Amino acid sequence: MAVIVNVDPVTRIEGHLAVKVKVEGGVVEEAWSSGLLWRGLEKIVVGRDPRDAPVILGRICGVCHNIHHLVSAMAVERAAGITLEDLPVNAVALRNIIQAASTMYSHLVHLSVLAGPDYDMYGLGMENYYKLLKETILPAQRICNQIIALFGGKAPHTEALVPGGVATVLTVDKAVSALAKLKELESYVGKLIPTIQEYLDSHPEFLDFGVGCGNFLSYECYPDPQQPGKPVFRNLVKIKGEVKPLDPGKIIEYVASSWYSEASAGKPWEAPPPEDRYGKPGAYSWIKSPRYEGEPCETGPLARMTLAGYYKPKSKHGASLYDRMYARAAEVVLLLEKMPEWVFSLKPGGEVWLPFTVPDFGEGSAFWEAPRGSNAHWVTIRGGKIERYQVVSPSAWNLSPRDGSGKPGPVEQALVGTPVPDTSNPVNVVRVVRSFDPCLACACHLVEG
Amino acid sequence: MQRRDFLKAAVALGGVLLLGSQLSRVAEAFKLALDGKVKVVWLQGAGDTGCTISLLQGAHPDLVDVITRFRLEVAFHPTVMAAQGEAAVKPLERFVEGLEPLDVLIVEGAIPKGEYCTVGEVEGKPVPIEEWVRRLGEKAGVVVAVGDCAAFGGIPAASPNPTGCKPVKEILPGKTVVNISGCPPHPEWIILTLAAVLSGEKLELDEYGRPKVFYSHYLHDLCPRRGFYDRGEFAEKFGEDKCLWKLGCKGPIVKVDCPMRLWNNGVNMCTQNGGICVGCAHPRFPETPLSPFHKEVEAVPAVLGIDLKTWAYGLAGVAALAIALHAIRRKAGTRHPEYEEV
Repeated sequence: MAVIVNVDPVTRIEGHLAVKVKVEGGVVEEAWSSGLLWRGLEKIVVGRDPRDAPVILGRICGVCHNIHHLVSAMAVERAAGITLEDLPVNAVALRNIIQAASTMYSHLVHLSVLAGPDYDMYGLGMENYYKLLKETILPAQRICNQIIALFGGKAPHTEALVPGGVATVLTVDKAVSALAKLKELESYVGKLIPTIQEYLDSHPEFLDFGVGCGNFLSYECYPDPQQPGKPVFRNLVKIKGEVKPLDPGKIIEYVASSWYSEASAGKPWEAPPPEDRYGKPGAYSWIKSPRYEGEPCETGPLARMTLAGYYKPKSKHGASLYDRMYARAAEVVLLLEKMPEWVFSLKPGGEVWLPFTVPDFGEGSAFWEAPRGSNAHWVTIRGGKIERYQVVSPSAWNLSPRDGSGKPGPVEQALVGTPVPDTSNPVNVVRVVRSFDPCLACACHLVEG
Repeated sequence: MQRRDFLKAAVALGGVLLLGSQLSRVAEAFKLALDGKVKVVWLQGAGDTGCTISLLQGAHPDLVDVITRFRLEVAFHPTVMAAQGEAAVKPLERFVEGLEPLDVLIVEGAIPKGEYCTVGEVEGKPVPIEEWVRRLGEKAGVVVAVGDCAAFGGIPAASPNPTGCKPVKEILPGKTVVNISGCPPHPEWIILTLAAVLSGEKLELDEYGRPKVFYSHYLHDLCPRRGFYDRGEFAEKFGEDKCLWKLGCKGPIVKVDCPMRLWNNGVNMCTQNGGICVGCAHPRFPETPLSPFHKEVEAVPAVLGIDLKTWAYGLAGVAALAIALHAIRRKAGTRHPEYEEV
């Protein structure tokens, strides 16, 4: 007999999420993911000075803080006709450093504080976990945030990521201090990441479930400061097994299972501001269903690391709980290796900002990777004010509900086949959900989420 | 001096209350929560969890242990607790039903209209966060609103307030709510306030219900760039090592101690770094007079058009709080003779 297991709230994630699974014969047969908080933040920026957008939309998320801030500043820059190539080299390098530090901190917190308890702290047990938390994890994430603060003033929520570049007085001592902090971070990461990876290696059963939809999506990010056309991660998608360049024009959102009116669906850059319809028949989430060529796509470290060739999934299914966790850990190491290059490319005393004038009219968009995956902002400026604003965030992709054709979202698909031997303790269910590092602030605090 | 509570002493001395000078008392306070003597619930409404993340950045070697355990052992904290689903919500129901007394309710995030934010289900129906805050708040000895969203509505309540977000005080009008502003607040503002509340220390609040000690000086008066302002040297572009007033800095109208406290363990702060103060610790953030953030403030109005009556906690607030704190202190077994008459 099928049993319905409802996990509400899913804790140890950012925000408000509930997951319902139907278990038949000890295995998940079907799953539903519901975002349970809506903030409608992009309505708040309409009518404002476009330079307000990064400050306000940066606060979409306080966990992967800085990334929405950055992408919003980039979208506003595009609307003013400024591209990456126009920015001072220092600005590009500083943005890379701030973004990489944010991503490393976010991954470290996810792997340990948020996901760790699901794995008995990677076999360490609770008492050793306290020791690890105290002596390694907390100091490591703190150093990442100190690096952000060095160049951004404070973290969470630096105010240094402004349209036109970075608002920082760039000095030699900041660069030197960053290198020293990276060295210290390396010693912590050197202890932590192998512990996690060895634990995963000793659990081959994690290769067999948490597979998902099989489609990957990644935007670019971390451009080479000298040659911005050469980013570390790239605009690529894998749809039904085929890897191809990403075309943002193929992103459509559906609302069949979301608490919004039908008119709120469509192309993110054309759809009218969404109207909420709580209680709509058949709907069960505040998250919309973004699809690429009509297909749900997984986004995040596993997708971008695999598409850019830094990681090869070990599961024969092409993705798994193991791969999602392993790729996140591997990305911390990759970024730690890249960081010194960006610090060395800084020219203290040089330009950090291209004087930015608000255009009277302009349309801009930015597609960029956040710690949890692909993040896109669209802005229209008219009369020097924001006329419309749209965001499609990473967790919207991952946690989306069923679309118009009934196709479940990536997390909903990844849950199918998950073993649940004991329905009173569905540990594998929350392992799979958390392996996506859900961030509900992203996914449904926004109308577009 | 020895009998005076530490926050009051710091205010009296006109100084900035720094964590370093209060380590043993703060550690003691958090231990009360760990020993189960003081019961704490931490709820999240419409927010981005930045306050919790900011708290993770607070570090003093002597405090790491107690605060780490505190974070893990409060009765309910959605971001860090081990339990989930029904098991996570169970302890909340015990407090609501009065089976166990709740001493401190901490709220992070604003409180939107019912359906926009729900946490858990009771008897098959989703429970709006507003219900949790009202029911638990009425039972709680002290309510602490951490961050702009919980204290004043903050970002989600900004015009046009799409989800009808309210600050905690509006959900619990009869209750004294200790507000900690900031988006996010500095970890030390949170730690020191919670330490005072947990140990039942008296807390002097300003007209916005905030611990006075953190919000009594204009940032501009303490700013490391103040010398440039005095000499009339203003940055015209970001990256210039001058006063940032003309680039839109709100330091002259925002009362906050960032320049003396510094962020991320003393590394930096916004204006020292070369970025403007957007006024994230101001009760009106992110509305006027802080926005447009990149437009310079022309004058320094005294009250900034804020209806002080809305936030009229004043002395009455302090007295009400002292009574609640007194109860906690009695429970915790800490005694301060001077409070016996409260």
